Amino acid sequence: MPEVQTWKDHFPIAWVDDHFVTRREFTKSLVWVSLATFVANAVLAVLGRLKRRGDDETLPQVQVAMVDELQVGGARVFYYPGVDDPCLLVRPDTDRYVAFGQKCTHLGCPVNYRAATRRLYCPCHEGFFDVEDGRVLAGPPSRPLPRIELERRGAELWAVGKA
Amino acid sequence: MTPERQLRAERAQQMALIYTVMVCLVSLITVQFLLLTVALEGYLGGRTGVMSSTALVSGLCFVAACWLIRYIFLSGRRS
Repeated sequence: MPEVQTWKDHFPIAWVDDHFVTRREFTKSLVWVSLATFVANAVLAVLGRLKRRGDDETLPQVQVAMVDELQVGGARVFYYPGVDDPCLLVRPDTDRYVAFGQKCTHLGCPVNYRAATRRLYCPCHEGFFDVEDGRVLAGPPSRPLPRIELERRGAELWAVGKA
Repeated sequence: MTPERQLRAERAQQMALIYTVMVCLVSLITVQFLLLTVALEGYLGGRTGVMSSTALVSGLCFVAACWLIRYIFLSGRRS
C-alpha cells in the first residue's frame, strides 16, 4: 500500500478547488482584457502616426521607363517609392501614361491591366478599377488605387510623388 | 427580518451587482474589439486618420470599465 505524504495529510485540498475562479475574480480579470484591448488600439494608433509621418517625407524621384518602351495598351511593373512597393505603369493612349500602386485596396493582391476594357483588374476577388483615376468600378474594394505622379523628362518617364 | 434572511438578501443583492457589472464589462469589451478591428483595417488600408479616434473611444471604454469595477471592490469591502 502506498504511503500518504505528510503534507497531503495536513493540506487535503483537491486540485479542482485549488483552481476555482470566483465570479468576482472573473469580473476583475475582464478589466485586464479591456486594458489589453485599449493598449493594442493605442499601439496601432502610434504605428499609424509613424507610418503617416514616413509617407509625408519627401519622396524620391525615380526613372521608371523610356517613353517608347511601352506599347499603347501595355503595362509594366516598377517599384516606387521603395523596393517593397510595386506599382503599375500603364499607357492607355498614345500620349498618355498613368501609374498606380499595384496592391489591390481590398486584400493586397496585385492588379493587372486589361487593355480591352481599359480597366485595372484584381483576379483574387474580381475587383475592377478605372484606369483614368484608379477609382473602384466593381467588386469588393472600397478605396481607389493610390495614384503615382509621373513626369516626362525628354524621352524618360519619372515617378515624382504620390497623389 | 431574521439575520439569516438579511444575510441571504444581501448575498442576492451582491450577486445581482456582480452580474450587472459583468454584463456591462462584456459589452464594453465587445465594443473595444470592434474598434480594434476598425483600427486594424485602417492601419492595413492606409487610413490612419481613423485610428486616433478608435484609440480614444477604446480608452474611454477602459475608464468606464475601471469605474464599474469600483462597485465590485466596494461590495467586497462591505461584506
